[in-house]
Amino acid sequence: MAGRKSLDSRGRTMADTASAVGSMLLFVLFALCMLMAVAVAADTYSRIKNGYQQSLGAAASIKYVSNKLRSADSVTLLDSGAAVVSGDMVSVIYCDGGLYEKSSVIGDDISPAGGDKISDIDSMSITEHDGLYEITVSSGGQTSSMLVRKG
Amino acid sequence: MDKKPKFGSTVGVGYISIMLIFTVICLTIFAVLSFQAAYSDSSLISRSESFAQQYYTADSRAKEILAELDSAAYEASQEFDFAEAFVQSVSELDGVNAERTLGGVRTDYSVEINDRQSLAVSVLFYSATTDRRYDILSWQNITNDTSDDSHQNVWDGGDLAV
Amino acid sequence: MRELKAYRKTSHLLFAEMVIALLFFIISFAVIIRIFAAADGMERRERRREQASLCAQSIAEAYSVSGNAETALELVLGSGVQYSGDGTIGLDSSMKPSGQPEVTLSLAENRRELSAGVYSQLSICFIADGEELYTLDCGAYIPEGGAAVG
Repeated sequence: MAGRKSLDSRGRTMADTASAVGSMLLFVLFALCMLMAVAVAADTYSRIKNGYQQSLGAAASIKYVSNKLRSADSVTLLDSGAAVVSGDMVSVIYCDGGLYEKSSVIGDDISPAGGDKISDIDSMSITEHDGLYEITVSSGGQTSSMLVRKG
Repeated sequence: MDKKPKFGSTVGVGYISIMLIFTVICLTIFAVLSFQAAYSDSSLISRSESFAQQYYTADSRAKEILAELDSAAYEASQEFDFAEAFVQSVSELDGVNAERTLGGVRTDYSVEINDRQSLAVSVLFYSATTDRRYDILSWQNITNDTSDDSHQNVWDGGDLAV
Repeated sequence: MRELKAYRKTSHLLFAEMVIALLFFIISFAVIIRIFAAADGMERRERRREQASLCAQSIAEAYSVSGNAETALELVLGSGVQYSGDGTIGLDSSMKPSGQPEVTLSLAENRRELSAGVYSQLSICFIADGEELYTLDCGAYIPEGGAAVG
């Protein structure tokens, strides 16, 4: 009788230990799942946010430059892919780790350095063919281009 | 003597709930931020799309006016005095200014893109018959005069109210 | 014995909590995943719409110089553009001609003969997943003799 009781007690203890280990494992699994869910959510958010910033960088830069070209009295393209646009003032639009614009009064010497930053882009070039300007902008591995006719 | 049996330590009640609440809050924040970023992107693109539509509507209208002017110039070129006949025809068109210049007639007109911008066009029509009837001198976006709106409320030098 | 009972009670509570937590998580996750899917779908659509917008504006600019839809397409998309049976062009997400199109481009031209030239209008329409993605109407005037003008 005493031997059976001791066996029962040992059996119960083993079952309880197994249950404790099982619940601990379940908890760890649960915690891992939660962590994974948060990591995936953070990754999705960063992808969408990066896409938004790239879109802002590339498309906004193209539209900014195209508006400048459309508003200009005259446009001179530089070898570096930059452009000098003349209107009420002379502005040079260039890329130097970002889209920059430097304005000065007509007659002043203007060089593509020391301008104001417009947006974050990797590279930009403005070329001319078939009576059109082609603006190409790269930002975050994405390259976009647009044609603008010569005024 | 008073030895308590040990049943192995397990996870306390409540930890899972706390973890779950934290996770759900994190996921909700990320989801809302993602949606907000996508929505901002969408409204930015919509605004840019709306400007493009306005620009090309104005551009098409400007080309339509150019076509009308060219037709008038073509008809005027068959008359004895091109400049006279052309200026006469142009005066019938709304919003187009014609001015006689050396070698032809210069016409200027503008088409509104939106409240802030217009498309200003200047075209020179030649009186002498050459291989082309006209040259576009300028076709550019201009900013509308908004001096009334940008008036700053500054002290005009009058008495100060004490 | 009492402790063993208390431990088992705790263990049962833990399982009950885990089941309730999982149920709650599944319900909230279903809602959150929908928000993520909507954001992701919107982001992809806007990416395409933006590329379509740049492509449409390029076509419009090239069209206003040439006054010819085919020439404009050639200038923007390169030579050898393949038209499908219904006269549309298949493009990928970056608006380059593709055999497995994600976006279709259709053009409708309306020409008006005038005494001194031809005034034409071009309607550019991008369609993705059966829905209109982006449309743009533009015009061109080509005087008699075919000289390209602004």
